[in-house]
Amino acid sequence: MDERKLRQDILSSLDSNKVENLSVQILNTYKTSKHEKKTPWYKNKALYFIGSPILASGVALAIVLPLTMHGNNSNILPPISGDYVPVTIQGEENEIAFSVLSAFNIVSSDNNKISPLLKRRISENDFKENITLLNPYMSTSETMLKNNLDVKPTIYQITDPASKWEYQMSIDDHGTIIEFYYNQTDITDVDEDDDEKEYRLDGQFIVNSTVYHVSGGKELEEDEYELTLKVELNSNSYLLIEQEVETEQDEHEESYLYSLYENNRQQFLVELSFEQEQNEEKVVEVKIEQNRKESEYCIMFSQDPNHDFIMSYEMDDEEGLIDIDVIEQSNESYYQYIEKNLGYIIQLKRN
Amino acid sequence: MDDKELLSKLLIRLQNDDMSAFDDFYNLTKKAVYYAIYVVFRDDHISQDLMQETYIDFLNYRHKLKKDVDIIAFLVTSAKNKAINFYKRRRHEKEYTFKYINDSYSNDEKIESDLIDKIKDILDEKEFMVFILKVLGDYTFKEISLLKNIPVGTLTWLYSQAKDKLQIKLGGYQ
Repeated sequence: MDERKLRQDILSSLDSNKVENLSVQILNTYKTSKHEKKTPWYKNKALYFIGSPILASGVALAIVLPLTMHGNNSNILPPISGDYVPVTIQGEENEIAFSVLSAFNIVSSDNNKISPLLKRRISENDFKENITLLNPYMSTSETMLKNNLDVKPTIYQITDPASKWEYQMSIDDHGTIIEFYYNQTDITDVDEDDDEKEYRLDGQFIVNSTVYHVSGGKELEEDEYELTLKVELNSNSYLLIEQEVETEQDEHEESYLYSLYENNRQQFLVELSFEQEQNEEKVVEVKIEQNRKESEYCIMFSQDPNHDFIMSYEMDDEEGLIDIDVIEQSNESYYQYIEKNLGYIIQLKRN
Repeated sequence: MDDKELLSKLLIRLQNDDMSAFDDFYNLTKKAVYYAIYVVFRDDHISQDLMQETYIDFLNYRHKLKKDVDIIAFLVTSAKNKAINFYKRRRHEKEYTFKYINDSYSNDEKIESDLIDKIKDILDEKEFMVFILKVLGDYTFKEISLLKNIPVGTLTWLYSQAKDKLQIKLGGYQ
């Protein structure tokens, strides 16, 4: 739809006489103000005239200091027979599983490379670059919308004293089994009067024969849960995952922050959050920050039967809507993104 | 000479301190500025006050504008920012109420024309509200969410619906 033309026509159709003629009044006020004392520099209203809405740079959340990592890649798989005791899942194991699953999706994605600096105006190329950056998180967003955060891991306690790890968590990701081995240490301060519990986590998971070491911690309080995981990608870079869950009477909020660090400098940051209130549409919000540029997306189920999701975006001062479809092709699954106004289309693998 | 060219010439005259150009300049731009504010508050007094502020700021700043600037876009953005700032300042004041901010658009005589009436017939109240705020004020979903206390996701969907309906039922805008 030619929105600009429609906008012009709507404006033209409005009756001019319904708007007061204030030109004389304005001019008089202006002339009077010119005779008044000059305003100090810090009240310079020119600062208001930057034109397009100012995008505030995202401020990274406080980063949990990295914990000491366990070292090496040897002795990956503990023994598999006779030494595994099933563990009854408490609530928070689902949250750990979800974070591990989303880390798995990110590190196994073809699109997890850092994109070059994006240009100012949203061309088709810029649009595709932005969506390519978003795509690894679309799968996680879809999971959040479908309430599939309850990933139902299977957990075993490894009783073999020779094993490096105390627990094995198996996560079934649409037929792909992710195995996360970990130790959990209670580090709750017993002197504290509150009901907060704290645990340290150390572990590893495997993607395409590569071992990724994981460390972190979790905190549990009455209505709140926080989890931090650091996934070492190689000797120079790591992925930091921070998750918060809060549940009150009619409200449930979850947020996930993924930050990529190279040589201890933050390269990009992604925040996914959703809030579910009673009788409200569920929306997942995604914010991506890279090279001081920010883009934001709101994703929800589409009520148009021809599309799976609808997403609003704000990137490079441009705003718009995108229809998203899940497409199955040659035994692979893809997301197809269609910009509603500009007609740009991009199809990317769905993890 | 079309309006855009005329506005450019008027801007040059204003930049050269020929204030006799202001009346024509005002009349060519007043609808865009006024309605960018009015669609939010639905209050003539607030809209006029903020409109005046917009023009005064423009006059104070006019010499810094480039000759090829999109003047309407510039003024609308300025008016919109004033509307949002005004709303943010006032909403926490106990004794202040925005009397008409939630009034129905269907009976609003200020937002009325054959084309607008056609659009009102096609869209429901909420869809129209989101649509007209986007079209006349270029408000982002976030800004509309702030002003109307409606979640961004809901606004996304309403706007998408509105566009789809208009695309089908309002010819001539493909």
